[in-house]
Amino acid sequence: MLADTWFEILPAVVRAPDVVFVPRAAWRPELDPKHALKVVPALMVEVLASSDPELSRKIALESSARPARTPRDLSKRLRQYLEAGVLQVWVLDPDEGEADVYAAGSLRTLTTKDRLEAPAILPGFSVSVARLFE
Amino acid sequence: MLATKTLHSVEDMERTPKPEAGGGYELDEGELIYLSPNSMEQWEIIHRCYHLLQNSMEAHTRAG
Repeated sequence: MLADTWFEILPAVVRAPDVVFVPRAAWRPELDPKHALKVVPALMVEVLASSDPELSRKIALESSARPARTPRDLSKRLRQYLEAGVLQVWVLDPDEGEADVYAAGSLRTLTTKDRLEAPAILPGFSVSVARLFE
Repeated sequence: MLATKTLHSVEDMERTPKPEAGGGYELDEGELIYLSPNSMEQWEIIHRCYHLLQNSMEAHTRAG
């Protein structure tokens, strides 16, 4: 389980998801968390929040970087995750109290009445969506 | 007129100093993008999710 780590999931595509799960079998000893890891996680989690548009613009001007966390950015990010071979992506939306579960060819939206599970990736994991947003 | 993009390598991105205001960078098809810092609410959810997953994995490992 990792957080705040870079993953080079596709050529010239490096992402830093909020939480990821890399199965032990996929981990290789030469992977160095100080650098972008060339490994595709089985699960990636992104937590939505409103970004600070003023700060994003300021930093973007200083560094010639493009601001992220726009709806377009999220859509592209999800496409890249699934194209790279990530099995499941959870997008947690605290404003709506919902968890969107993306997998190849499917999307399920869970509410606070549902349980979040991923038996093929994390056998035994089961948590109510409400627990995530408490 | 079309805007031109400056393309960066993974090494360029890793060498880019962290923004003083917080947040960090990613690379999207060679384009450097800026992620603003997570809010306190986001961090709480990230930590909760991380620990719930971690605890579940540990319980699963113990159960063999």
